[in-house]
Formats: sequence, structure tokens, C-alpha cells
Amino acid sequence: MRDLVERARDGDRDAFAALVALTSDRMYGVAARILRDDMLAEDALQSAFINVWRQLPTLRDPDRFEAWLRRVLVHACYAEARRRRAWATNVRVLPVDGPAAPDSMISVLDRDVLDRAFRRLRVEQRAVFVLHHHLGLPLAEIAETLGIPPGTARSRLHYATRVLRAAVEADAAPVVHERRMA
Amino acid sequence: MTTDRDFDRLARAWLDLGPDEAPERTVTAILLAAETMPQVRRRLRWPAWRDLSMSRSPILIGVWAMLLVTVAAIALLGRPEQHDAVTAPNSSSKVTDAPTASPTGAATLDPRLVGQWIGDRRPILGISLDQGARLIVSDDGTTVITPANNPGDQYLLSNTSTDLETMRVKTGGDPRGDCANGDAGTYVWSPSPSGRLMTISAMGDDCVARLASMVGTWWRVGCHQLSDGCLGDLDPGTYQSAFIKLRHDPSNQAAHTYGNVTYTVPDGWADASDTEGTLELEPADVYATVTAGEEPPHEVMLLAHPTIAAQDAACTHADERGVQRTVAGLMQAIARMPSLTTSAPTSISIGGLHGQMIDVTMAPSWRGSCPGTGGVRSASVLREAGSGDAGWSGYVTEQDHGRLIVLDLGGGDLAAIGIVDNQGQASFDAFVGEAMPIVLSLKFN
Repeated sequence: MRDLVERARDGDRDAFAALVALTSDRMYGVAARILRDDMLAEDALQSAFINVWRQLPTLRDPDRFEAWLRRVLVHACYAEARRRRAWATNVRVLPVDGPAAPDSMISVLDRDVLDRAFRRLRVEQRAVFVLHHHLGLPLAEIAETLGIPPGTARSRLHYATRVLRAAVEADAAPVVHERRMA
Repeated sequence: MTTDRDFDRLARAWLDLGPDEAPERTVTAILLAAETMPQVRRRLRWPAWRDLSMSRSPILIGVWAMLLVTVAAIALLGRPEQHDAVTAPNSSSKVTDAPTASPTGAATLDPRLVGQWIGDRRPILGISLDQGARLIVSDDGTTVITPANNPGDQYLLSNTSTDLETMRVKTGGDPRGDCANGDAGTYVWSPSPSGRLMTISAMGDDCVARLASMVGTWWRVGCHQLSDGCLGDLDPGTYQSAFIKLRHDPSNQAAHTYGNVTYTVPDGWADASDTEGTLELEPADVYATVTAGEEPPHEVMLLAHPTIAAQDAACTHADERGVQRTVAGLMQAIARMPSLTTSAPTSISIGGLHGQMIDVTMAPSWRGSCPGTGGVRSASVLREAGSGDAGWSGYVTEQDHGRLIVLDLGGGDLAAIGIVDNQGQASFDAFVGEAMPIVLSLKFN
């Protein structure tokens, strides 16, 4: 990839196309999970890659390309989320009848609960959650990717986890019927 | 109760449900944009890393405008009758004195009308009053009017022909229905001798919405890179910015705003860039010769929302902490920078706004070098406040002489002006003499 990055940095569009082919699926997956909306994710992906193409001459270390791309993408997601906040209640959800989870451990109900709880998180919290659980990045790398202190990354992940976990647990709790004692 | 391990598995399983394949249309659009879009000029001194996060920022204007007008042209070409010469309506609100058609009887189009034009705010269907207007005339006469920063929303699809100073427009196949099919209008258009400006006045139009939006002054978009949002070479005169947004406005989340600043230039200047964060003016001979990857020897920059850049060896893309974002706060911080040799800050008033001015060069003792500056001695100075790594960021190199001005726009907003030259003290002094009248002409709206 380093060779492709260096060539693209020098203006080689074929090399850039190869970089897009190598990374766009993965980046789209990240954007779609952060934004929970296909159209917004497409806009963020397009904006991020165009930004990257334009700014490639400023990239100092070609080995940092993918980390840099992730950072640009997440910022594009922030912008998309802010731009569409006014009609965020109308965004489309990811289909619930998608492929089954690998271990079939997630029910349709869980998906719905997680979807709704996830939408209540700030986009910055969603980003950390997705980078950690979907890409498997450690917190230190997430912090570096996003340009935030490690403590901030940790607190965002902690908050997101707490909210989502509470939603799942609340949903799973048995309904208690109170009875008047006297 | 859910254990941590259970929850992590659940979270991963839930996240695994999402898509993992980028839509082909998006990848195609990215590659098409890269085909037509140059990479940034290396801003060794004041890299204007523009925020491209808005999918409809000026960066995309060129691409989408060309694509969409092409689509519109195809739609019109599918309707041959729409290219007929326009006939004159006859009521008082309609065209009353349509000049005769061209001698050949065929619709013609003056090539001076073809291209993209920026106009000031005007009542166009659905366009925010904060935005200017963009008139796009393709070489087959297909014409649309769009918000200046959003050519994706195209209005008033028409076909245009010209006969000397007469411009005829006719609606046909407009999918939006802004005007009725067959609506015809006749206008008088007057290009300036340079072709960089034109005025359009109405003789009449069946379509009132088109008449309201078409009439007025239009400036040709002569930018080398449409993505820079600029006009390119300018006739002497007074201009309004089209995109830079100098003030925070919680009630207006749009990235751009029309007419935030007015400036007056003499002959021989160019508007080299106008984006949400920066407005750059250069001598026309510089603008003509500097290409992507090169650094202009001198230029004037207006920069939105400045703050002090983090003062660390890595030139981190972050705000320096503990600096008061006031004119005095920024000036004091600049004057204290160990990387710089500075003059004493002096007061200045521009457009009725208070500010301070300071001249800077690199301190002889400074040995730092920011990444990306080719190994020359350099240091971060200013950046766009709170912009992460998406906004503009400026640093000084050992070749530079700069005059920095920070202005208080009121309401907590600041603007910075940079006059920068890398050709030596004498060149800087001469350039300041040319640039200061332009800087002093600035008026902030």
C-alpha cells in the first residue's frame, strides 16, 4: 500500500483508484455503522475520499495512510451527522432482516433495542464505539486516530457501552406487576 | 444481568449486521471527482486545509455542476422543439419587443455567455437568502440557476439563445416545473469588455420566478480550480465574497455565506480562493503562473475564526491552550512566540472594526521545522479555532515576511488577515505597499 500511497500523493490517479478499491468497503462499513443511514454514509465516504485525494500531498508518512483516512472519514461522519441533525428523526434504519449474526446470539428485539439506543448517542461516542468493537482498534489507537486524549476516548466508549448495555438489560428485565398491599 | 463479555459479543454481532460493501455509484463518483479535481497546492506557509466535510461545499461544485448540466442538456436534447427560437409573448408582463431571430433563423449562443457565473443574493425558488446564486450556461444553451454553493439543486431549467445583446430563454421539459413549458423570456445582456462581468436586464418573461432570479449583475467564475470557489482574474472594482463565513451563527448551520466581506482591488489582481474559511487575493501575474504544488511568492489572505496553533515541535493540528481568543490575546501570544521575531503590535481600524497589526519573521535562533515544510525552519502560528485537522492552518518559514492583522468582528468572532511574501525584505515592503490599500478597503457585513 505504501507504494500506492506515494504514487497517489504524486498525483497518480490510477494509484488512487487502487487505494479506493482497497479501502472503500471497509470505510463504508465504518461510516454506515456510525451514522446508521446508508445515504449519509455514502455522502461521508465520498466527502472523505475526495478530501483525501485533495490533501494527499500534505500526508507526511505514507505508512499512516489508513489511520489518516479513518480520521478524515470520522470527521466527515461528524459533519454529516451535524448537517442532517434537523431531520435525523427521519433517517432510514439499517434493515433488520439482514444477515444473521455469526452465532445467532442477537435477536431481532436486541437489534431494535440497540438501534434505538445507539441513535441516542452523540456521533463522537458512536465513532469510538464502532472503531473499538467493529474494527477492533485499541483505545490508544482510537485516540490517536481521532486526535483526542486517550482519556476522552475511554470515557466516550464507557458512556456508549453503559447506555447500550442499560438498554439491553432494561429490555430483558421481567415486567414487575405491583400489587397494592392493603 | 449482562456480563462484559456477553455484551461485547452482542455488540460485535449487532455491528456485524451492517453493510460491508461500498455502493458502486459512490465509488464511481469518487473516482470521477478525482479525475477532474486537482490536488491542493502545497501551502508551505499558510496551508488552507479546507473543510471538505460538507458534501456540497465549493469543492464539489465544478464536478457536480458539469455532471448535472450535462444531464439536463441530455434531457433537453431529447426534445428538439425546445431549441426553437423563442417567440415573443404579447402581454405587458410578457415579452413585448422581442428582437428578430438571427439572420440564419437558427438559434445561436454567444460563447461569451457560456460558463458559470456568480450573482449576489436574489429571490430564487427555494434558495436560502444566505447564499448567492450561480448561473450555469452550457455551450448547447442549457441554462440553470442554482444556489452558489449547491449546484445539485438546479432551478429554472431553460434553453438560451442570443442575438447580439438580446438573450432569449425558453422553458421546456423542466422536471421541477419552476416555469411552465413554453414560457419564454427576453433579456438584454451586457458583458464587460473583459467578459468577467455581465449585467442582465429584463424585457419580459412569462415566468416571473425566472425574471426575478435572472436580472442583475453576474461575475464570471474564472477560477483555475473550480474547487477553490473563486472568481480568478478581477476587473478593477469592488467585490463581495461568495463563500467565506466569518461569523458563528447558531441559527444558521450553512457552511458558507454570501457577501460576508467586501473588498476593492485595482487592476491586476485575482481572487485565488474563496472557501468557508479563507479568502485569498493574489496579483494576477502570480495567479497566472502559480500552479498546483507551488507556493505563491506573495498573497493576501483573510482567515476566519483564527486562534493560536499549538506551540509544540510536532506542529500538532490543535489549538494552543490558555490563549484568550481576543485581539489582544492573540497578539500577545504571537509577540511571545520564541519562533518569531516581531514588531510591536500597533492598533489598526479596518471597515470600522478595531484590530491590531504585527510584522513577523522567523527568529534566527529558531531551529524547529514543521513536517511538510521541506526541512526548512518553520513554526506554526495560527489556525482555524476548533477545526480539528479540517480547517486552515498557517505557519511561517524562514523565507517569509508576514504582516498579521487580527480584527474583532464583535460577538466573540475574530478574523485574521495575512500579507505574506517569501522574496525578501524589499519585496515584502513593496508588496505591503500594494496590498494595504486592498486590506484597508475591506468592509465586513
